[in-house]
Amino acid sequence: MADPVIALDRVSVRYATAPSPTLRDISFRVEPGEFVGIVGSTGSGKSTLLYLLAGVIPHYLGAEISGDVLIHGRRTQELSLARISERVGLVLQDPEAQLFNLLVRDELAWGLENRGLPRAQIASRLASTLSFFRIEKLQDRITYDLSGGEKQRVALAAVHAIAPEVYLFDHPTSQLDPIGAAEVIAAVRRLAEHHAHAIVMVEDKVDELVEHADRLILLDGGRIVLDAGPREFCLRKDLLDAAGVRPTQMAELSTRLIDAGVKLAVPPITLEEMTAALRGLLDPGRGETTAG
Amino acid sequence: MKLLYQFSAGDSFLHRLDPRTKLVFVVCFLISTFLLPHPWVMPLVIIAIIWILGRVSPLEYFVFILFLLPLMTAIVLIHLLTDGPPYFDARLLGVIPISTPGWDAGLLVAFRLAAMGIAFIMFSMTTDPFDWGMAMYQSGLNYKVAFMFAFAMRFFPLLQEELVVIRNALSARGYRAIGSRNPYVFLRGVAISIMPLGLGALRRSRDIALAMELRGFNYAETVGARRTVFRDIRMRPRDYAVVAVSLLGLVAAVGLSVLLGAFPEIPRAWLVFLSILLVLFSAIAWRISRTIKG
Amino acid sequence: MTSSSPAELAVLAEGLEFEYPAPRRILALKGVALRVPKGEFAAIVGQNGSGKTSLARCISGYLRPTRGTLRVADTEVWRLRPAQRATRVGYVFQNPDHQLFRERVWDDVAFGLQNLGASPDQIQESVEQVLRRLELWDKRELHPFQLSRGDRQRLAIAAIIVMRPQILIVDEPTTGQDMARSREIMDLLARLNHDQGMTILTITHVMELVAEYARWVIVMHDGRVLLDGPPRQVFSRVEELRISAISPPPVARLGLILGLDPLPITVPEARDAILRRLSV
Repeated sequence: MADPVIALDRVSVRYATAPSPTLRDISFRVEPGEFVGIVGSTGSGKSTLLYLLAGVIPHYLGAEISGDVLIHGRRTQELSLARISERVGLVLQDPEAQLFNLLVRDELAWGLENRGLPRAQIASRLASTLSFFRIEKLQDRITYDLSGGEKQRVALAAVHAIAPEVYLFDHPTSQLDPIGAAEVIAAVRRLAEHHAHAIVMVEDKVDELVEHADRLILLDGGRIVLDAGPREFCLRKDLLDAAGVRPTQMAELSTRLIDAGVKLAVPPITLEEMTAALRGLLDPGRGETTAG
Repeated sequence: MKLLYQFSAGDSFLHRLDPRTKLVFVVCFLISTFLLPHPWVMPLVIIAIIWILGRVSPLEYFVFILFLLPLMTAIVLIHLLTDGPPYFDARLLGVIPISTPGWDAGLLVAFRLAAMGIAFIMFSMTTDPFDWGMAMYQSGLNYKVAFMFAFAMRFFPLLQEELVVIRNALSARGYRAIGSRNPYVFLRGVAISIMPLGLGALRRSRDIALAMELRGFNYAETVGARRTVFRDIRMRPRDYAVVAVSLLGLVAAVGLSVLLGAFPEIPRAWLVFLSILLVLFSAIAWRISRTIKG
Repeated sequence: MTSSSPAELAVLAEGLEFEYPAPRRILALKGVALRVPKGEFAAIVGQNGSGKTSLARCISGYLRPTRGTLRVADTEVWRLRPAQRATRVGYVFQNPDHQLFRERVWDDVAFGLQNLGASPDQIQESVEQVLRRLELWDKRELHPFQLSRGDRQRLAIAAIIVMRPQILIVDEPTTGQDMARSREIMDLLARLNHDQGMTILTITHVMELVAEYARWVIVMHDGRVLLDGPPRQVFSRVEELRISAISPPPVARLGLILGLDPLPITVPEARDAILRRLSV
């Protein structure tokens, strides 16, 4: 079994100014190629966890850490942020805050320029990133003229150019309209294909995570209270309610239908699953229908 | 109110010149403007240059020119009223004498100002601020300083947009800042708007600083590596040609000015101003010479 | 909705056009027809570029229509001075940071009333009432910068409703917030609508909240009102929604696929509809 890409073992984090720890006793692992979603209400510690994985804590934001945060087996405390950021990329929430160059292609090259890569290598990484995300037509655009979705995609591409193994996302679609959000999700999906990279994504809405994540983690008051596959996650109404998180509408509907006595063997959590399941139940040709 | 016109991406002759070349040209142009006695020539010359060589029509920056007009008018007026005899026959409001040399002097200064302003925006409209920053970096300027200047240019349009929203929000609170003729109200409106603008900028700057750090802004310093400059900035034959033409033009302007007897009897203030310009010019020339060698 | 004589309409628009001035010259509104009764809770939805923001700006009086009729609270609201406008139409912008003008929460809420020329006693009373109502009273001495995002959002709303506008326009109150906070804001708007009869117009793209809170939905597309009506009706108009790239909430889509009638737009409705179907 391959080593986990990220491993946390009983980690707690407390900011200097906070009276109590923001994260408590966190233990979890991310395997190579896994897509993990992190969900929780405001103040549950989601962003802190992400910053921990990115090495932002302790290197950029000061905080007390107890326990080990291991990236490819090495403690983040022992590595510099410069080194960590080569292997772990982070895409933030605000599309306006991640693009500082005038032209898109300059933005994509910028991270590589800073690292002193030879120009030929920069050129080839630039070309491969542009084609990977199919944003060649954006390369000569001015960054402040782009739409929100385009900006986030360029931010992601700029991180991709550095070729990290792990991608972290901090509410990447929360500031975007539905079309922009869909574009960004499509870009992330391309990353997740072939399980070439580990992806950890923090989001408020569970809907997109449910479709793409291998696992979902629920944070409540700084603790991990649930770590499960999408279906199991969505059906734990008790934990979700306590944490102030709602599952997908379909999952909510499944739970209510099951409570009312409807026999749903595999409770649907997406629209496709629900449609298929209900069609099966409602189709006259299938014989008996069951109801409460 | 746009004081510095934004870069408009394009592929003209001017766009493709090295920023340092354009700087040399602007400086030579400015000095020439102050030497030549026919003030209206130079603004037309620079507008033509921008139009033909930069493919930017005056309509794209006519707002800037509009902004210049009241300033120019004010200058002419001041000279008309404060310069000495001889006077025109007509009098302002029937009483106030209007100076004849004041008319010439006023126009001279006004048009020179216009030429200067338009030359500056020629630079900013056709030069990617990052090309400019990186050219200066290659010429020896500290990377972070060079980057910060360009970075400010990149965020300027965003601040402008936010300011519009803020002014509307101010209006939503019943405060009549926009369109108010009361200077106190207007200025207070500006002062009040600074807080939300500043807050927004401050909040965003924290994220920006983090994002920059994560993409290696301090990498070179931390690890001891040297940054690569990916963009292709160097002085090409056409750059040298333009520099040569600019310097020749300056010499010609000096010559012409002396021949016409128009070499200005420069008042002390202008002398100081020109010396500063000269020092700047030398410093830039020195930097450029370092690049050419290196 | 019963009568719709102009005096009973919060918003009346006919052939409303708006063109941004040179150099942009974009025709953002191409002939909008709209009647919003007083006391309505309406959602304005549409893609970026559909004209929804321009419509909201016209209704709030910032933009002057270039053609057509627009009467808001039975006046041509763009003619009014800001102080007069504020008591008719309030506008809460998307980003709370753009709307915080004073260094103390209390002062920020009082600011609008001061501009309206209210007496110190009136200000004292109104500000306290609004701050308590929005649960910001304990934070009244803080600098707005110190507040959380959710609190800043509430502060921005407080600062506008303290002026008691008849109509309140709220621009994307949900961006950058989790669903729980978004629901709190919507609950607040619903209470204002119910208790004070304030007409609410909210621009949003979260269809689940539209289904739960709005009684009227206005779908914008390409500078026109493509469709308007109660949420249930709007979500069943598949073709128009496809054109305007609006996606109904998942339960509504389910209802459309299964042909459930009446179309469920919330989870409880979907549950009931499906149970009814199954027991047939």
